[in-house]
Amino acid sequence: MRNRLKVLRAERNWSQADLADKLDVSRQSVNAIETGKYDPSLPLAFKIAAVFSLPIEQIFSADEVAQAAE
Amino acid sequence: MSNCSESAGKPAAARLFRDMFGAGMIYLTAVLGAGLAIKGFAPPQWLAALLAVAPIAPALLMLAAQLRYMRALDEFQRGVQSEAVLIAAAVIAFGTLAYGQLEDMAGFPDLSMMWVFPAFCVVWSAATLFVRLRYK
Amino acid sequence: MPRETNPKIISNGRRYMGNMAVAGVLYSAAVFGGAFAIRNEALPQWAAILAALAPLLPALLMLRAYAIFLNGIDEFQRRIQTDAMLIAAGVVGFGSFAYGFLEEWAGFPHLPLIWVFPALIGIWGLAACVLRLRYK
Repeated sequence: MRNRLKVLRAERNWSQADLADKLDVSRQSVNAIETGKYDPSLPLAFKIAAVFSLPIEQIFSADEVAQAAE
Repeated sequence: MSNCSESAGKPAAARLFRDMFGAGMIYLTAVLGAGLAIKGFAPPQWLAALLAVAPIAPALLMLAAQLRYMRALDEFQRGVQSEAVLIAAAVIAFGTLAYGQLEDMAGFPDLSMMWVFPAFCVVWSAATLFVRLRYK
Repeated sequence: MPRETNPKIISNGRRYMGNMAVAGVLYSAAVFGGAFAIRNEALPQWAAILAALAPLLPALLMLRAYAIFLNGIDEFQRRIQTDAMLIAAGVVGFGSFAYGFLEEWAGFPHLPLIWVFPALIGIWGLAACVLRLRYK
């Protein structure tokens, strides 16, 4: 999966720790999701979408879809 | 929601440490007490068997503390933990197989089953560090 | 239970069975061959150690077959498999711990460490069946 977490976070001036607090997860976990090393579960993905007030598709995209769009 | 930057991390870890310490003290008491009682009074077999499994109760307390800790973790951290447990299980499975064969066929000294669990815990901790590094 | 129809899943399962069968035969050959050699020839210590460790190679083949299998199944099935292994690790960890104390203090017969590995596999298989039932 690809994600735009880093960009979205920067737009809002949030640190990884800020986002971690909002999601009630650890900073480590935010980092692993951001670097694409861990794909969040569906419930956590929805929580992330709610925190950014964006639909999930505008945050996450499957690798193949992203490549096709480039 | 937690207001700590490592939410689900630090308070849970502190609690784990406290619970483990308490259970560890009970465990040591049980082991030493049961050992002394068995060596000192030569109780009948059924009583010896009961005394021998007494240290299992505090060990279960430790397990409960560990489970409580894991439930307080978020999904990513829980994934790291279960990956570490799986690595530890594989290492212990192969280690005991190897040593068991050496015991059986090459005259190595017999090791009690008792050591499997402590070895497992040690390998698990090491594996947790290793797995965490991979996600850095 | 509805029959599996996805050809990829079916061929993945078949390959797993095939790999396991081959590794299982090699494993039995190594165990029995080694035991036979040690009981009938006066092997030097280093040869006895080699013979004792020989079954580890086919055991590693089994691990490899399983890793390939895990790669070929979907995330839900993988979850069942890893949960089953966690349960097996817990049960065997505590079981061996309890038995170790009984062995040391209550005069229960010594069980060689070699039994940890088959116990792990047996309980894991059982746990996988139970877990699968839960999702029915």
